[in-house]
Order: sequence, then structure tokens, then C-alpha cells
Amino acid sequence: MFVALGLLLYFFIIPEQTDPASSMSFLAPATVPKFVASVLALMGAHLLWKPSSINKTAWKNLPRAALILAIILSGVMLMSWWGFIMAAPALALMLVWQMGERRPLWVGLTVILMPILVWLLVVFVLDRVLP
Amino acid sequence: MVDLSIMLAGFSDAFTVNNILFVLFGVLVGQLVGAIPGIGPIMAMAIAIPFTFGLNPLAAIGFLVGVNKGGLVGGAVPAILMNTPGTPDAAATALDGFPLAQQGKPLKATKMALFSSITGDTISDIVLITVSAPLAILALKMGPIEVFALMIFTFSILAGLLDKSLAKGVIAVLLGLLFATVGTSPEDYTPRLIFNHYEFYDGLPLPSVAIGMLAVAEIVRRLARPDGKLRAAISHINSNNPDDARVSWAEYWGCRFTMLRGAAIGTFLGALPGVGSTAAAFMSYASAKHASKDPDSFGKGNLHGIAAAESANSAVMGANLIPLLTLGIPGSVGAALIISAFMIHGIQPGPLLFEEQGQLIYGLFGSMIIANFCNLWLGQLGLRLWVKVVSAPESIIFVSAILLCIVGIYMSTGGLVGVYVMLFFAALGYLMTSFGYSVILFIIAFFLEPRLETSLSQSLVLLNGDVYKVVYHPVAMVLLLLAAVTLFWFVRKSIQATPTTDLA
Repeated sequence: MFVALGLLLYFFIIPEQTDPASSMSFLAPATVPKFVASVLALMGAHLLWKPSSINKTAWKNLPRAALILAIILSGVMLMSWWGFIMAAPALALMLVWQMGERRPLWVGLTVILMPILVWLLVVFVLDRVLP
Repeated sequence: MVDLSIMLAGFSDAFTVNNILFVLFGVLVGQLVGAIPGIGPIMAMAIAIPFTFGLNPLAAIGFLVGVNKGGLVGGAVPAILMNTPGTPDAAATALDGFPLAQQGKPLKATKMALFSSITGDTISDIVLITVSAPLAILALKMGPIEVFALMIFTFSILAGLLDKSLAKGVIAVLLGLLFATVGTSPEDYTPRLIFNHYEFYDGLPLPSVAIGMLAVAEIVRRLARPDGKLRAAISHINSNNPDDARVSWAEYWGCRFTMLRGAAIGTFLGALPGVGSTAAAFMSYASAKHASKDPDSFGKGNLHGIAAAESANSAVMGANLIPLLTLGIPGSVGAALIISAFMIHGIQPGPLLFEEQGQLIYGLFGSMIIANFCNLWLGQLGLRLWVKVVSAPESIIFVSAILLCIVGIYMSTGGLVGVYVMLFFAALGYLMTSFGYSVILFIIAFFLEPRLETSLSQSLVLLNGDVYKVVYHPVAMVLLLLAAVTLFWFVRKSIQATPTTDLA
């Protein structure tokens, strides 16, 4: 994977996303990224040649981790539409439910009290705005 | 050399009521979160940094130092009571702390951890206060070529020390370097790798990267555990003998050489960039066991085992600030986060810090000493309370932490774009940790890249593009040779290590 990433960066992404060097400069804008990309490809090749151990549970946990990140991402998107005070309890509820918490007291504290406390802290104590 | 009046002004800034209260609050937060397995001082610091935005720099950094130091003490509590270290540093503490708790002496074990932690920390702080200013003066004599060579040397040490696989270590560094190049090039100031998103013109925000990779990724990792179960509360027995609930002076004094050895190991390793406090704790534990007349008692509740581990892991914290304050190189994740705090407050860490912000630095030193006293005082009062905190459900803790991360990044970056960046790096951090790539290396490389590239650019100008002229710079040559030797040593070590191929 790193071989492909390194080559993609070196030949396509970096030339596309950097300006050519000015006549006065010793270090072109693309020099360091290209150096990094080439060593990345080399290290990727090294890993292909001599692979190191991989924790098997890493693959197993990946879908669950992706789900949690998707929940957080959707919560942040909701914040941009509804604002923090409406979206934070929804996000908190989705997360505690996903964690398996069903005790009404802890669910209530997490879903209602915590967002209100954070909102009070930011808006009244720190005098800052929230989405 | 920093003027005496500046030193005194710095210390007097530290000893104001306002600052003492912030440090005290930081220690309280640190001990509290350190006691909760899974949160730890690093995550707490990462979450707290954006909230310090509105404070004055000394109060903000004093608070964060308090969190870090408090966390080291708090981390020992679950290690001793549950055999589940609150922080990785406390893993060695569990070796003797947990058996002692099982013998009905949980308070004796936690108090020994507290006293030895503060002893090690104070010794390390004294070393930091005495050596950092002279080292910074030495660092100031270095030009861009020497700075560039030093960066190369630092990377060579980091890559080898932090990863079992050298290739994975190098890849982590490369990814950090790559993401740090997003923004503008240091020589031409033209946009680079921003994909027409002009909000990234100044580069990716460091708080989003650090908090995403350290705090959010860790929370996601814990929430994604396959069992999906909520953690159980602790159960332990308390002896009725009052002597089992305290550490006598004789017991403390009996461990003095163990603590001194631990503090020396922790201070030495802490001053080297990249060597974590976990390594120091285990090294100190092993040396204490080796030096003991009764090595068989280690692992069965020996106070020397707790003293060795705690004095060493706490000593790392102060010493970690030596490369940060003198060279601007973060020696650990905690130090990298303190750098983020410096930068949020418009302060650039490095050798000029003593000249430009001497008062602030001596204020920081004063805050560190205050934090040690607060740690001792709060630790004595709070240990019984932290024992209760260990049993708080993870659901409320992690969800609150996620909300605080989102709000903190929103405030520090001024919009939701920073939050989306944080989530991207949380995903990357999760993947890197899961597949054995060091997140610490990534963050340190991400932070150091602008300085590396600027010093390379300046060096090329000074050498007029002729790299062979570097031979006229002996300090740079020595550093580059050391880097080459270090890299050769690590490569050889990596080749000698037998890999386990398992790509399932």
C-alpha cells in the first residue's frame, strides 16, 4: 500500500499540487514532499519484502471503529445544521447506546447533563460561542 | 545568560494566588483523570489545551503541567487497585502495587507510589532548572546548518527507539513529515498540497492533529473493543491494621537509594527525545530488583518495586522539558502538547525562549515546583476519593471526552473545519496504532518538519548549494556522523531481529 501511495504522491499528486521553484531558490516547494514520497515507497517495498507482524484483532475491530467515527462525524454535521445544544445530546445518545449503556441514570447524565455543562462552561464561563 | 531579576520575576509570577490556583486545579484534574483507566493525563492535556486559549500563558502552561504531573500520580491508583494501569507509565507500578493491595494494603501501596513519584519528579525538576539555561546558551551558538544536523540526529534516535520495526518507525515519521508539508513552502511561500482549500494555507492545525491522534483515536480504540462491555468496578479488601494504611518514615527512608536510582534513570532517559517514561519505569524496576538483597520478593508486594517504578516514571516529566526548552524538540507526547500550548499563545519554543520569554520560563519552573507540592497535598487528601473514581462508568467519561474534544477544537481553530481535520486524524491515528505505526513519532515529526525544512533551506543558502561545504562545520559534521552511526546501529538491530510474518 505504501509503495502505491508513495508512487502516486511522487508522480501525480505532488507535481499537481505544488508550484515550480523560483529561479532564486535552492529548495523547491516539491523537494521535501517528493523526497518523503520516494522514501515512503522504498519503506513500503521493504515491508513487502520483510513484513512485520500485524495484530489480528486490528482487522476485527475495524468495522466497529468505523461505525463510532461515523457516529461522531454525523454528530458534528448535525451541529453545523442544528447547533451544539440540539446536536450534542443526539450525539451523546448515539454513543452511549452503541457502548451498551442502558442504565437510565447514567444515560440521562451523559445525554442531558453533560452537554448542558459543556455548553454552560463554554458560553458563560469562557464567554465563547458554540455552533 | 538570563538575568537574575528575570528569574526572580518569573518565580514571583508563579507564586501568585491566581497561578497557584490554576496549578492546583491542573493537579486535581490530572489526578482525577489519571485515576480513570483509559483517559490518562495525555488525553486530558490534549482536551484541555484549547480551553486554555483565553488564559494568560503562564496560568495556561502551569495548568497543563499540573495535569501532566497529577496524572502521573493518579495513574498509579488503578494500577495498584485493579492491576489496570491508568497510564502506560504505571504498568511497572502494578507489578508490586497490585500484590500489596491484594494483601489488604491498598493505601500503603498508593501512598508509597505518591511519595516516590514526587521525590523523583522534584529531583528531575531541579536538574531541569539548573541545566536548561546553560544548554540553551550553547544551542544559541548553533547556526542553521548545525540545527539541521541536530534535527537529522534527533530523527535517527526517534526512529530506532520508538518502534520494534524500523520500517514502520520510518513510515510513521514520513507520514508526519508529509502532512506537515501541507500549507506553504518555507522558501517560496507558494501554496502546497492544499487541494484548493485555502483554510489550510497556514498548514494543518496542530491542536486538531494532536487531539485527533492522541485523544479521539484512543477513545475510538477503547469503544471499538470486541467485547463491547462496560468496565466493572473494583473490589479489594482493606486490612484493619492502621500501619497498613500509611507509609512510615523508616519505610520511606529505606527506599531512598531505590528512589535516587530511579530518579537518575528517569532524568537521563527523559532528557533523550523519544524515550518514554514506561521504559524508564521498567529499567528502574529491573535495576532495583538486580540491586536488591531479596530479589525474589519483587512482584509479591515489595515497596522498593513501587518506589523504583514511580520515581523513574515521574522523573521523566521534568527532564522531557530539557530538549523542548533548549532546542524546541519535544521529548515526549506530553512535551509535544506543551509545545502546542506554547504555540496557541504565540510563543515559539527553542533556544531563543530563554532570551525572549525568560520570565515565562522561570514562571513555568516555579509552577512545576508548586505542582509537586500540590501533588503531595492533594494526593494525601484525595487518594481515598480517587479509589472511588476508578469505578466510574466509561460511558459518561468517554462521551464527555468526545464532546470536550469537539468543543475544544472548535474554539481553538475557530470553526468546524478544524473538527473535521481532527476526525480525519483520529481515523489515521486509530489505523496507525492498530497496525503498529507509532503515533508519537508521527506527531513529533509533524511538529519538527517546518523547522527541519527551514533550516535545510537556510543551510543550502549559506552553503551556496554546495553540500560538501558542510565539512567546514565541525559541530554539524559530528552530529551527522552520530546520526549515521545511530541509524546504522538501529538498522543492524532491525535486521538481526527475527520478524514474525503474519499478514492475516
